[in-house]
Parts: sequence; C-alpha cells; structure tokens
Amino acid sequence: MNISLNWLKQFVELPDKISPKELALKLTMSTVEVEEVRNLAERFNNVVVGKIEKIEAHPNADKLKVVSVSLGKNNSQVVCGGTNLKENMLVAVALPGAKVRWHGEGELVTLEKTTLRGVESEGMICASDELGLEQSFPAEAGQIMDLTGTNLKVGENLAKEFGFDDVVIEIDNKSLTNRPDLWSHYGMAREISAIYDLKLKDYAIEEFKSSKEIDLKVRVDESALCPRYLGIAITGIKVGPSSDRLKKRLEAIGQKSINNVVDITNYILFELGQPLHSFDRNKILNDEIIVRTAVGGEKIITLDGEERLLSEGDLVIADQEKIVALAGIMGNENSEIDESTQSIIIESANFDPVIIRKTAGRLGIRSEAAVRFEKSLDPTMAELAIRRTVNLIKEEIPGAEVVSDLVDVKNFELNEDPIEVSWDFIEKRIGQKIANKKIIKILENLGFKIKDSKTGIKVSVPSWRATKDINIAEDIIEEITRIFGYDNLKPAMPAVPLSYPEQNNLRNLERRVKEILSLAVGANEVYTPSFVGEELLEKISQPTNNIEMENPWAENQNLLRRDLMANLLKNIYENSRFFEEINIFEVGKVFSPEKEGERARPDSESRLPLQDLLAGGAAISENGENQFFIVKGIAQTLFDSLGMAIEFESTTNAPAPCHPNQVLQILLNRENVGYVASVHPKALNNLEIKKPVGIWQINLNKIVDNYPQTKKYSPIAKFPSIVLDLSIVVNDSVQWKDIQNLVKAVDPKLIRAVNLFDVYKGDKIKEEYKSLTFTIIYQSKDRTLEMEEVNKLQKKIIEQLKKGMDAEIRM
Amino acid sequence: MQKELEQVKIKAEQMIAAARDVSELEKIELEFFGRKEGTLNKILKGLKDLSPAEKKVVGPLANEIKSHLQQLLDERKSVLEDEALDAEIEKEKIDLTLPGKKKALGSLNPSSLVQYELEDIFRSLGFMVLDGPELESDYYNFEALNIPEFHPARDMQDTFYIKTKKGESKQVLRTHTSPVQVRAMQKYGAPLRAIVPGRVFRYEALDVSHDNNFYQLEGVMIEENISITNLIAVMKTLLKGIFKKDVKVRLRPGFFPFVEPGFELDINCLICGGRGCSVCKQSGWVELLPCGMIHPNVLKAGNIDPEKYSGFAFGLGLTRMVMMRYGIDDIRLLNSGDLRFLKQF
Repeated sequence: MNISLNWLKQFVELPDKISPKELALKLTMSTVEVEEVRNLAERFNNVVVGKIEKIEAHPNADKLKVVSVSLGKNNSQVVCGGTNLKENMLVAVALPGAKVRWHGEGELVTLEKTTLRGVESEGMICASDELGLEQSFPAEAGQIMDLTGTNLKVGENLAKEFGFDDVVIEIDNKSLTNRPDLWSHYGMAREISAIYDLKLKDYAIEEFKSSKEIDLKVRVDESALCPRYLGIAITGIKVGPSSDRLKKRLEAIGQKSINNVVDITNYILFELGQPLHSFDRNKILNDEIIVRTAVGGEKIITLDGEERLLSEGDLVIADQEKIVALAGIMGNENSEIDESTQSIIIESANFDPVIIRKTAGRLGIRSEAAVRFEKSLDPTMAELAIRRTVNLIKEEIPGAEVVSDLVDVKNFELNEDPIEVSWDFIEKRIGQKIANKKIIKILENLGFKIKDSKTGIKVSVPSWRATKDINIAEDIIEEITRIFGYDNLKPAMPAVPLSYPEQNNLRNLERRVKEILSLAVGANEVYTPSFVGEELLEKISQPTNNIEMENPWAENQNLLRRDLMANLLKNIYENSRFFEEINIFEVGKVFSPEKEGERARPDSESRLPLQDLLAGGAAISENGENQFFIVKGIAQTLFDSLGMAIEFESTTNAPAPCHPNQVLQILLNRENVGYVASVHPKALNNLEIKKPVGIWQINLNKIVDNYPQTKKYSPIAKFPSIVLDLSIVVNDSVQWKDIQNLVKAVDPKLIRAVNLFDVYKGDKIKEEYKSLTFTIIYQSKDRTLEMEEVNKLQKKIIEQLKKGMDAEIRM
Repeated sequence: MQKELEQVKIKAEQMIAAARDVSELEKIELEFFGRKEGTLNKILKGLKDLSPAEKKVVGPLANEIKSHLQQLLDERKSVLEDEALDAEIEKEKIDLTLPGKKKALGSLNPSSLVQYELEDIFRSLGFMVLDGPELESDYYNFEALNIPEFHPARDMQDTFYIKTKKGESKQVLRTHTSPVQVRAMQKYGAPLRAIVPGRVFRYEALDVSHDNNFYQLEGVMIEENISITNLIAVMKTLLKGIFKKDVKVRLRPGFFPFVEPGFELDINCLICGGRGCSVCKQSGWVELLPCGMIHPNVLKAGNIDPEKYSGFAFGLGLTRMVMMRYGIDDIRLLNSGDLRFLKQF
C-alpha cells in the first residue's frame, strides 16, 4: 500500500524535523514494515521536457536514430531507438545524472554521457516505464513517452511541470494483515499521531440535507453477512474528469484516474479505508437494493469485463430482477457508471470477512475492497465514509443534489467489554517494569480508554481496533511494548532449571547415517525435491498411484515421492554428463498413501499417510568395478559402522527399478529393511543412462529401534592363527555364500573366517566356469594349532568342495 | 713371529682404512681372519711350536692384535654401511610434487552442515531436536496455530494442497515447521525446549531466491514466566553462537497469528556492515528471525495452561542462513543435486 506524505499531513501536523526516512523507520520499528520511501520529485532530477526538432538516421545502426532535441535554451543530441519518434513531439529527456530504469527493468541506473555505435548521445529520451510513469502513460514496448498535447514547458524539470512534490511511503501489505484500521491515510495518520504523541485532526464532515424525493429502499436478507448497509441517492451528476487535486492525490499513490464519480469513491477508500460503490440509479429497478445470497449457477459480468460463475451462498447486491454487484468485492457491468449517468446510488456497507474471502478467493479477485473487507472493518466507519462522500461529490460536481434519505440498515453490536490487565501480568510478560503512567499514556494515545486501579487497568478498545485485532491481554502487552520501543527493553536470560534433553533417536540415527556415508563411504549427499511426476515414474516402471497435489507447481511435479529412487536416478543422469564416477545419497521423508502415520487431529482417529524416513543412494563406477558390489559394500559398511548385524537375502519381489537377477534384500532381525540392486536395463534405457547403476535404499524408521548399538568388546585371540589360501574352479551357478558355508561347516570351531579375495573368469578358465581364490583362517581359542592338524582340515575341505560343489582345485 | 704379527697388523690397518665398500671389507676379513687361509690364523697356527715363555708373550699380543683389527673392521664396516645407505637414500629422491593418493571424499549438503552446527548450539542449551510430518493436516499447519480457515493470514503462505476424498480432512504440505510446536506440546507438555529443523513447502515460482522445497528451523521454549526480555536475550545468544561474534540486532513488530506479540528480528547486514547495499536493499538490516511470545490459543491447542506457562517461539530461515554462510547466490543449487556444486563442501 502506498501512503502519500502530503495526504497524511492533511490529518496530522508532522514537524518538518521528522524526515520521511525517519518517519518510515519509526513506522517499521513500531507498527508496520515500510518497503520503500520515494520522493517523487527526486526521482526526476535532471529529467526535463524536450521537443524533438530533427530526426536523422544513425550512420552505423538501422534501429537507432540521431535526434536533435530542443531543451529551450539549447539543443541536445540524443541517440534513440524509440519506434514512435516524430518531429515536434514533446518528450521527457533524461540528462547525465538522471536516474532511469533501463527498459523498465532492474535497479535504477544513473545516466552518463555516452557514445552509441560511434555517435555521441548527451542524454536519453525516456519511455514511461523507464521513469516509473507507466500507470499514467501506458505505452507499447519500444515506444517512448509521448507528451505532445500537454502544456508542459520545454526545458523545465519534469517533476516541476507535473507538480510532483509528494513523498510516497510504500508499506508491505503482509505486515498489515492484522490491522484493518491501517489500510488508509487517516488510519496511518492516527497511528503516527500515537507514535509521536501528536494531535490528530478530526475527520471533518459537513452536515447535508437529505430529501424524500426518492424512496430509496434497502432490504438486507442476510443480516449476519451484512451487519450494516448505508445507501443514498444523488442526482445532477455530470460524469467527467476529476479535479487536479483528486487526480494528483490518486496518481501519487499509483492509482489511475477514471472519472469524477469513480475517483471520489476511490479517494474515500484510500483516505478512510472504507470501500464504497456507486450504481447508476437508472440501472437499478425501482430504487430498491437487496442484499442476499446467490442461488448458485448465476453468471455475472464484473466491472473488469470478466464473466463470473456464482456459487450458492455468495453474497450479492441485487435489485428486484438482477444481480448488480458481488458484495464487497466488485460491481457488475450492468449497473456501471458511464458518461451518460445522471443519477447515482452510493453504497457504504460492512460485510462479513469470511464470506468476502471465500468468494473473492474462489473467483481469484483481489480488489481493493475485498482485501479490506476480509480483514474485518469497523462498521461505524461506513457512516463516516458515506457522509464524507456526499460532501466530496458536492464539492467536485457542483450540480449534484441529495434526493433520498440516508438509508441505514444496522444489524451489529460493538463489543465494548473492556479487557482487564493486571500491572503484575504486564511486568511479568514484558520482563521489565514500565511506569504505570507511561503505559496509560501509550494506550490513550492509541485511542484506548483506560480505567486504572492499584491492581491493573481496564482497557476499552476503540471501534477501529475492536473488530478482530485486539481481544486479549497479550494484545495489550504488544501495544504497550511496540510503542515503548522494543529496542528500549533490556535483554534478560531466563532462569530455568537444568535439564537433559530427551533424545530423538530417529534424528540421531539420520545424522549418524549421513556422517558415515559422507565420511567413511565417500558419498555425496544430494537433496532432491519431494515431488515426482507420472512420466518419470513410468520410465522406471514404478506405480503412479502416489499422493497427488491439488495445485501442483508443474504438471510433472504433481505427485509426492514414495521412495527416493526416481529423483536420485534423474540426478545420476544429470551428473553423468560431467562425472564418470558417481556415488550419491539422500536421506528424506517419503509418503505412503496406503499406510497410516501420525494423527491428523488430537480429537479424532483420522491419520495422516505414513511418512517414513528413507536413506537411499545410487552409484556408477569409473573403472569397470561392478556397480552391484559397490552398493552392496556401501550397505555393509553402513551397517557395520552402525554396529547392526544384517543379512543379505535373495528376493523375487524386488521393487522397481531393481534388476530381477541383481538384487538382494537387507534383513535386520529377519525383517526386510531395504535392498541393494542394480538398476533394470529398461529403466536405464528410458532414462538415457549409458552405464550400469547400482542402487540401495534403507528404511530408517525400520532400523531405529536398534540404534544406538553399544558395541561389545571380545578378548583379543591369545593363540596364533594359521592362514592358508585356496583357489578353486566351479560352475558359474555355484554361489560364494554356499562355498563359504560349506568350508566353515567343516570345523566351525577352528575355522574362524573364510574370506574371498579374487574372482576370475577368462581365457584360462573354461566357459561358464569361474575361479575363486580365498583364504581360510584357522585359529583356536584355547591352544596353538599344529600344522599337521590344519593340513588335515584343509584336505577335508578340498574333498568336500570336490564332492559337494564339483570343484576343481587350482594349484 | 712377534715381528710377523706386527707387520700383519700394519698391513691390515692400511687395507681396512683403504677399503671402499663392504664387500671389499669382507674380502679383507677373509684374508686375515679366514679360518683356513686367513693370514692371522696361519701365523697363529705356528704358536704351538713356540716355547712356553714365548707363548706367554706372543699369545696375548696375537689376541690383542686380533681384537684390535676386529674392532677396526667393525668400525670401518659401520662407516661404509652408513655411506652405502646414504648413497641409497640419495638415489631415493623422488618428485614430491606428484599428487598424493586420495581416498574418495564424500560431502554433506551445505544445508545439512549448517543444520548440524545449529543443532549443536541448541543441544548445548538443553534443547531437544525434533521433527514431524511434512505432509500435515490443515489442523496442525493452520488451525492449531490460530489460523482458522478463511483467515487472511493464510495468504502469507502460499500453500500446496493435497487431493483428498470427500469427507477426508484437509491436508497440506507443511508451509512451516511450526506445526511441530503443537505436536511437541501435546507429546512432551511443559516445560519444553525444542528445535525442529526440517523441510517446508511453499507454492512459489522458482528463481534465484525462491524454491518450493526449502528448510526452516523452528524453536520453542516454554517455562513459567517466560518474558519478552527473555526472548531477546536467548535470540542474541543464539546469534552469537551462529555468527561467532556479537551481532547488532533490532526487534520490530511482525504479525504471525501464532504469536502475540510477534516480532521480526533483523540483524545488521553482514555484507555492508549496516551502511546499505543491494543485499539489505540499502536498509543496513537483514530480516532473519521471525519470533514472538506463543499465543495463548496455541498453548491451549497444545494442552498447556496459558495461565501457568508462557513461552516464545522462533523460526529461522535455515536455507537463507546457508546462502549467507557460503555466499550462495542461487537457492536452486541446494536442491539441484549438481555434484559440481556439492563437491565443494
């Protein structure tokens, strides 16, 4: 919202020593966030009115012209690319030192003398958006601002000629959400008078005579949705341009002037904060206004020319035969003021914030009226506003005459119960003592009425703060402290008992897993979005019945991920353009629509979908190392480091995109907690990944009960071990795990470990066979082994391997 | 014989001194000490032919010369061995500027790094580290936080809604980590000290400073008689922990329905030191930490008696902190998974 300083000064006498910047800072520190302070005149320093005298072609550029501009006393040569240049055109010329926004974009740039394609340019002929005047001078791209037809003096400063002497303070609307009373100049003036302890001028109203000439009727069917409706009929209207005073005010805050009638109601809107509407009286049947709800299914055309489909329950303004406005949001074309309008009905009403927000939200209309009504306006303001409107119409349109009563349908009661706050509560909540007198002064300046006693105060809230903003003692604390100044409070550390924080094991596990993966495994952590799309899921043959968003940001981002794989593989593809070797992982929440998770409400049994925390990764190798064994090794390292004993087991129902013959499930205490696998070649093809990819995924929620594991010490072996190597050739179908088990079973007590160190296939081995080389570690817990004994065992192992595995021993 | 021995001694001494390497020395050793052919032994073999009186003189002399020469030999051997080793070492000069053999180095996302640093600060102050659902009910994300349906404050957070079947309660992707405030109150009661780092979602067009998946760190502290001045002091301590120095802060009003009063905490711009630059939009201040005293309605939703307890809550823009810490100028890099970016951390 833009606030004009000149307009503010109409209501509060700001001493000159308070600069606009200071005022903005004070507002930011006490009330609302000021985004920008714009001095309208400063913005046009070194921008003057010029007249084009001669246009010549640029010797080195087709699209540029060399223009000679008269600046009154002297002429200036300017290189310009404007498509609408004409001789004798009045234009705005920015001279060196002027600030312009190139092509209406980016930050302001200070202009310098320059040479463009070999021709000197002493300034710039501006487009309206380069000077921030696009509201008043809309133009097509590439066109410069045409001032021909105005009576601006050539050579004079543009701000001076336009009469810009105002300063505009732009306020962040979000910071005004809770302050319906501040959406206007008068409201801001009231706040500023409280902050600086200045006198606020009354909002002056002149009495006027009403008349019985016309019997204006207002029927409110929905009194709960329309607590107040005031209407009045006025004739003798001549629609035309507004006075310069009105135009200047509106333009200063960035509002386009439309015509005198519309401008007047807009003016009151920005001055007082009350949205008003004027109907062409001739377009309202029998002078009767009806406030009712829509049946649903009606189509109306609003003032912006859009057709709108109404729903049952939308609040509308109607006459006996048709809907003439969407209450509190926007009028309809069918009752619009036009050039021939002679008689009008003015509406000043108060509407229920929720119905306004519902309808405006559904139809996507963010009108100035709707944004104010949805914040709960003060119903007493409606009367003030309509009276002031009548005053202003009489000032601006000399023949105008009130021809009806001021009709006022009231169905509201102000909540006038005072809020009780004890001195003790104030001190405790703030954390420091503020003098009682000071507190009372602050609150009274803000318009509160105070009754004080030894124990505390009773605070009556003014009507403009009472609609929603202030209801409880905490609200009063805020009023006191923000005006007192938060920076004037002295920080004080809370005195609380020491306590050991309860540990969240899942979070601790998550962190540990990430540390192991990044530090021990050498993997890189990626974050990917929680969103996936059908196309991507189909590429990796995953189901697409994921949880779906109602308003996805993009069509291919409409689903919530069920696991981490889709985006990890996408990531592999993207990174494979730059890296030969990749080892990435992610830890994140996934969403399972079929399973129940946390409670959705404390008072009901309904549950949110389960949202487990998964760790997953994907890897491709550079040196031809098998991707499956890379990820299997990652999983093994991870669990070893966590101190959890897992088993790998084959599975026939591996999830996509696992390779059917290269996948193992991970079991912890016989429960499936994840998998290691290669990616299915079809998925690789679809994703255009050229190399085989290994993937792994672990559900951290399923292993968290085993964390943390305290590792147990076992004594270091006292007796030496004997290590013998063995190399065998077996058929490809023989699995290492079976060989290992067979060897161990020969003497589980004395054979401590059987470790594979090489697998070989190639020229020296017949096809469909492989050579395995492994070490067998013999060790006893209670004695030193004799070589003879070990040799016997080794012999036995060889025999059994020959018998059981059809193995051939290599020497 | 005595004379003979003296001559051997002199000759041997000369040869030992002249030996140039260990193998030469070994030859000398063999020449004089060799059991069969060694000069010394040959001479000593004649000892048995001498008279007892001569034996008495020559015997000790021979032993003396023998051990003397042995000592010379050993000394010379050790010198030559050292020389040989030195020569060997000299040959072992290599190009030390060749690169070392590196282990594959992993990395954490910079956001994780900053998150863990913050977690450690809070743990040291006795805070729990919690998390909650990312897909939240409308109840916990809004209603319980004093933002009823059709409240204008819902505009402040552009929300992703989930398609639900008729009759199912409304669900959203959490727009902030604040819902965990109420969940934590319900689970742990008061007093309570907890932080919640986590992923949040906003329906926003992506650009250098906006992503629709990003991270916040929520904090909450509830005790008897927590005051505004307590909040300011704890926030200052926290910022000192983050920036490792005292930072200038200012507190101004900010509106968030779940706190009353609500504040925006700004810090003095670290880029320009408060003089004004493009990062702080020329104001000298950067908005960092929305915070406030927990609204009694929120305490009630968490089953905590607002008459007895009060508390404060704050929400730190974790992602923004990460960008400030590392000078990252495009927020989208954080979720890009681009290893050219991630491997720098």
